[in-house]
Amino acid sequence: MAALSFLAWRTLRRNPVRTALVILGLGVTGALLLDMTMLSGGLQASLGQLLSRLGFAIRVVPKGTLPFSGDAQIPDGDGLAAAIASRPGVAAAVPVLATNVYVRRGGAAFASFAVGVPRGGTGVYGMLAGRDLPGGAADDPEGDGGPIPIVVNENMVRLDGVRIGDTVVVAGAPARGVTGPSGAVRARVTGVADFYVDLATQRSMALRTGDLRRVRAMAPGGASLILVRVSDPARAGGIAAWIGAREPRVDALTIGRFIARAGARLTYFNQFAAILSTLSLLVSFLLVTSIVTLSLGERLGEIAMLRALGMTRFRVGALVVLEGVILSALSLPGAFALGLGLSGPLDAILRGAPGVPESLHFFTFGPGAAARTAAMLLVTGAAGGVYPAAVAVRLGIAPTLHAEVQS
Amino acid sequence: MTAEVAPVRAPGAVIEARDVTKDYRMPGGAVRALRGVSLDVEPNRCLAILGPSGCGKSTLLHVLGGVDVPTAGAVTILGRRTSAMSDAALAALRLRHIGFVFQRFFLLPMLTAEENVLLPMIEAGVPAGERRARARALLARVGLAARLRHRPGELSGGEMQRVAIARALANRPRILLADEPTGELDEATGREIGTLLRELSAEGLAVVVVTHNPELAALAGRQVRMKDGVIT
Ligand SMILES: Nc1ncnc2c1ncn2[C@@H]1O[C@H](COP(=O)(O)OP(=O)(O)OP(=O)(O)O)[C@@H](O)[C@H]1O
Ligand SMILES: [Mg+2]
Repeated sequence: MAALSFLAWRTLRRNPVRTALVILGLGVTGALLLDMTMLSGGLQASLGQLLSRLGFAIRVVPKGTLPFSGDAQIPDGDGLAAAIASRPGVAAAVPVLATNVYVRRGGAAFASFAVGVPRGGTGVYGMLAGRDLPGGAADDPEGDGGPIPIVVNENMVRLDGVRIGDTVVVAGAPARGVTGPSGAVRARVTGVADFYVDLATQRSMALRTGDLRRVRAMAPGGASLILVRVSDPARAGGIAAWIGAREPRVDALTIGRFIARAGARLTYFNQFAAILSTLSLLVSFLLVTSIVTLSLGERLGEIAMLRALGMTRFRVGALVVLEGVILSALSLPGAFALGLGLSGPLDAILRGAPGVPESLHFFTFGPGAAARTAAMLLVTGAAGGVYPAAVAVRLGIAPTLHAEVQS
Repeated sequence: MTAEVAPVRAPGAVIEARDVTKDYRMPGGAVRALRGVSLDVEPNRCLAILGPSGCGKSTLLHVLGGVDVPTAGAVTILGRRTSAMSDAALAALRLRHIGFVFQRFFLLPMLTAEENVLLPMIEAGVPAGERRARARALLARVGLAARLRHRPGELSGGEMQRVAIARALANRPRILLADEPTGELDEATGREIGTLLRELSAEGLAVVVVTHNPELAALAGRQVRMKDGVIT
């Protein structure tokens, strides 16, 4: 094999300019392939990274939904969360109520996403400044007239000038007299937090579940989502199965199942990536096939000579296939440099689309994407060598030598 | 003209051809390039095959060397009948026991003289140290000790043919087959090559040379004339 590689390499070096041009071409198509490999599954990988960072191994949602994707609620979510929390291996089970509210301030009003949590310190969001919500339950359902504590996201600070210590009104409707499920409660901003999945200009806030129910006039007990933290990640699957068996109206999604379900909704990126990947592989294949076939045609006499002096058909075929493999191997550094260089700007373009959470990326590079791309390119190089190799293998020694002498 | 010359059956023949016929199927009908050739190739002798263009000399050489098999009749190389051998077995036989020299040299232009000579030994799995020593000895033998690192493009025609001969001898074959080895060389250079081939046969090799060149043929110990696919 070493001898064949040496021979193949020297053959390619015979025509350095031609070889360099083909390697450049393969580098460009390889860069496209790398980007498409990073795109396909990139969003899922990014989502997986984000979810792992948040530290909740299981998400319990109303059956057939995704977190925060609608108004559906888990009936008696608080009760289910308490039951889950008492299971062995469960560190915490946090029922979260999610809905939209309006923030009125001065004469203005704007909409905000609101998450209701039982208390501060749940890890549903990450504090950036100020104080978290208080630790105890919101146990004064009718209110004593004092403002409720809320934590807001940075967009509200940046876009609306809301500051820690400000007092605002949180309501179910944009203005008084507008019909809707509305209470209106005075609130004091105690802190600023990162809500992890905010869109670029989305306002978000966290408040205690009881306060949120009062604002939206909701019945107690329901939850949009239960976040479960486990003490041993290996037991997540078992705990999820137990939850699903106990309450058939929910899905208990481990991170893997969550990504699979979210991924099913992202198939258009994967289809797009698959089509462009296929095209790029096809172009690479054709480049290798045409150049290796061309080069073989220029040295049929030499091939016949190699066969005459005792090289087997198999070795001659392998020699030609190796030329294809070496061409693609040499194109890998360029393909990776160009592909990685391009993925940044491409990611920025897609992330600029409306509705994209800021912490998600479309193009994610990792050892998996790198290995898949390299393997696909090398296999394509080998496949590109198959046709000329078949020509070399079928070459008759005597007719070729005869033809060479005639020419 | 009779069809066959009864071969003198030499007990030590390394190649035996018996009633060999070779047809080439062509769109315009089959061409019969050999029509019943019988011939023995013996060690220690240089055999020249002469004849007009198109009479089947190259075809005969290919059949004798196992790069092609006869349409009818039999060729036996070192006791093995070529038409009964697999392609891989024939390749192995050629690799270890037969050296080819061509009119057009067919040296690999991207390899040095030494690397060209190393090639068949690498294929045969000769250990690295030994093959290097052998390549140098062979190139010294053909008078090219000073040109080891030169590529074919930097050599003259006669030098290239001598590299090709060194390459043909690399695996210490018992048979050397040369098809018009002096066809592209001037007279003086052709004479040198002829002398070299005769020396090799004197050392025990079975040498067969196809040639148009009467002077080269005269150097051979035995001459065979062909016409229209038969030995006359
Ligand atoms: N591969 C082939 N396919 C078809 N016909 C062939 C082939 N090889 C040889 N022939 C034909 O067989 C006949 C003998 O050819 P061959 O090459 O053996 O002649 P030759 O004696 O070597 O001629 P020259 O002195 O010109 O080299 C010719 O008619 C030639 O055209
Ligand atoms: Mg000929």
